Amino acid sequence: MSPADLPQGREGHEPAEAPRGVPLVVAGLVVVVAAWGAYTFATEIGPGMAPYGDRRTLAALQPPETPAGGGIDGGAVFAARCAACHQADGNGLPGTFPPLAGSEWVVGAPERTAAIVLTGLTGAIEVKGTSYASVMPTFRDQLTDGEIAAVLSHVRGSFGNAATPVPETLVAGVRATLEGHAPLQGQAELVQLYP
Amino acid sequence: MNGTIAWLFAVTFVIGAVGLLGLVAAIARRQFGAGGAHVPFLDHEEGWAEDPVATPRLQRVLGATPRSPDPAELRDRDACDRSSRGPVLAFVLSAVAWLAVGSIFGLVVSLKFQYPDWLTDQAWTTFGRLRPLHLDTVAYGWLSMAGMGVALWLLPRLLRTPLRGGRWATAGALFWNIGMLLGTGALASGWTDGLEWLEYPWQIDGFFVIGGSLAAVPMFLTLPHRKVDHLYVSALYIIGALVWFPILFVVANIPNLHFGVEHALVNWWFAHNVLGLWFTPLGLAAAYYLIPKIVGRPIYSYQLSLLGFWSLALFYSQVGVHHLIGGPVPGWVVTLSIVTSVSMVIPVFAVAVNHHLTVLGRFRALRHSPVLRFIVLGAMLYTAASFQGSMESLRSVNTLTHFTHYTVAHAHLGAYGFASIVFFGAIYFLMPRVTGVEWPWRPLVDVHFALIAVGFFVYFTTLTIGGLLQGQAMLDASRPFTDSVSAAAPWLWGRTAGGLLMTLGHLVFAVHVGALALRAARAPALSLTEEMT
Ligand code: HEC
Ligand code: HEM
Repeated sequence: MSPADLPQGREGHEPAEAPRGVPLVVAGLVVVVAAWGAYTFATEIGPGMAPYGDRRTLAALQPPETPAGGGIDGGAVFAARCAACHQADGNGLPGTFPPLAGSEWVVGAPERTAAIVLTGLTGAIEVKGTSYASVMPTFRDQLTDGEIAAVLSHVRGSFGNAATPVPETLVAGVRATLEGHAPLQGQAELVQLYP
Repeated sequence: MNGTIAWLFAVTFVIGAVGLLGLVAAIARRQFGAGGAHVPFLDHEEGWAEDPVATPRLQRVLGATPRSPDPAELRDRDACDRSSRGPVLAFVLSAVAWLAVGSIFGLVVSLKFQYPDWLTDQAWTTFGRLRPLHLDTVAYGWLSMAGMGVALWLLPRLLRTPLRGGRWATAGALFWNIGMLLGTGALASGWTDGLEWLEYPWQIDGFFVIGGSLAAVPMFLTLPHRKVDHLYVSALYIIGALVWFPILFVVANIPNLHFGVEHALVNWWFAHNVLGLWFTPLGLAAAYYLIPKIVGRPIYSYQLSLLGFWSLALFYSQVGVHHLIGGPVPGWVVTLSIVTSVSMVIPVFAVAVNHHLTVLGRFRALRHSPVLRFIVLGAMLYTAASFQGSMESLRSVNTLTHFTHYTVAHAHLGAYGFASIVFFGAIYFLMPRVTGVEWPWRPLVDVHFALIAVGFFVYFTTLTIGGLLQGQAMLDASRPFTDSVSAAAPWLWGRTAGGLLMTLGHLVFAVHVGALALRAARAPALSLTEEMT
């Protein structure tokens, strides 16, 4: 058999490397990258700089500043307790959950809304010309007076509403009056209690 | 404390980079004595180009005249190839089988983006099971086994002495295959470790540890007998890979050791090192060997080879955390990964320049050498994938591309475009040599190339565009989340179409390899050594 019949016989020498140097461009690249790397380390890791991979600082991770007056964030209470039904934009769901945005009850007498949140509401109520007959649960045991005042102040001042904040003492007053009271029977009872 | 860390990093980094340049300068001044590059080809000797699939036109085009090979050199080379025959065939044939299975998994997973209700009655055919099956089958069945097969074939040739202890590696292939079978069954039945790239249950991982270690035994047995005074760069990459991978795999898979955020860090440290310190060095070893072999010229620069190897070794192990940019991990780890990811342009550029200047002036060979076509395309896509990866690690780019199909496109650019395509070329080159049987149907090689080249182009471009649109939609808080899904949806058809072509190419390849293996089993292989002994 002739060696050229073997696949190996058709090959050249084993590969080698020519003793050439590193081209200048490549050496230049090494220098540039080293300088950039050192600069990045020095500027990205250091005192007072974001210690977390998502670039948040320790300060950003602190709980948000408590709002002035009352000390409770009404927006947070709203998101946690009311938005599931009345929706984040306060427009409710047609036919089921009445809107808070532009509602005459929300911007009306604060005792009435405090009563709704404290005892809950069932039976007919007319909001912005539409009648609802559904059930809203009581928040008597879930929310403190301060929280109720904060969330009412929040809805009265959001979604285009522009009514005055509700003081905590007012909520405390309503709570004392309606101690143990069953859910309000529609707007009829509401208007009767707080004309 | 953070300030100190920053300065420590900055200083170590600069020292590392200066050390790298120092090393290169030292070699330039030949302070390494006889070890320096030594050039067996002189200029007038260059030019005998070879490709087992090419027509004689390759030689004519390169202006080279066939030369009768030196009988002693030929005998040595034949002895080397025969010594590695058993383990190389065990690894390569298994790899090709896993490639076929893994591609079909991939194709089914891709089709599920178009037909979400298809194949949902059996738990094992749902997306959540098939996706890890695809990833692990192609990563550990195809790429790893192909890489080890190619490495075992290269080692005796690089060390110019027959492989010692090849049987250890053959046993390694057996263990590895048992691990693959058990792992595949486990994932299909829903038993998984639950971390990407580390899905195979740790109880099964032992088979891979034993299999991988056995595969490295011949290397350690053969190295002391080497008949070269200078290790060619491919040998460095192979030694590095075979030492690095078992360590990575064991450390990342130890049960009950890693928890919480640290577990995530180890997960991605491992996952990226599988690419960078396992597939990449094995693929580069093959490319570094075959390019000069086929174009018949020495590698352009010895110093560039060294710079490329050592900077890869220096930077790669720290880049993995770029998968967690924006995650709740310490900021300095992320910064470290970004800087090292960008520093990867050094090894990549060094390798790219070295390969390019080696082929420069002989690009005509591509028209006539199918093997070179695979290797050169693979090497080019290595450069592309790496530069893309460096860019993706920048925070500004990462916010757009993270959690999108763009990342999957990038993963395939590296794992497929580079590693898989280089291994295809290497397998075409080595199979006739280890079996002594020529490829049965040469045109099939071109069919394979056309299918995967077109298929991969479609796969990559459509998925990249889809990913960018998806990222844009996700970043825009005023658009609902479903916008990001519908923006990408039409482009995912591109992945299915491209993936179908790729899978067809793999089936063609598998049939061809199978036919060659059958012929080899029937006809006794040609060998000089046997005639002479
Ligand atoms: C489980 C759903 C639900 C939750 C939670 C809820 N509400 Fe209501 N709310 C209703 C329903 C239903 C009505 C109408 C009841 C009816 O038809 O009798 C209503 C009515 C009201 C009204 C009077 C009608 C209007 O639209 O102005 C106010 C004011 C109100 N809710 C405020 C609140 C506040 C403040 C909270 C959070 C503390 C809250 N609601 C939480 C369901 C809910
Ligand atoms: C044979 C070579 C291949 C290799 C090495 C490979 C590798 C990979 C890798 C590494 C991933 C994980 C990507 C990530 O999450 O970042 C992946 C996922 C995937 N691959 Fe492949 N792949 C190959 C072929 C294919 C083929 C032929 C198809 C067919 C379409 C395909 C389709 C997919 C799909 C659909 C995913 C899941 C992407 C997702 O979760 O969104 N792959 N592959």
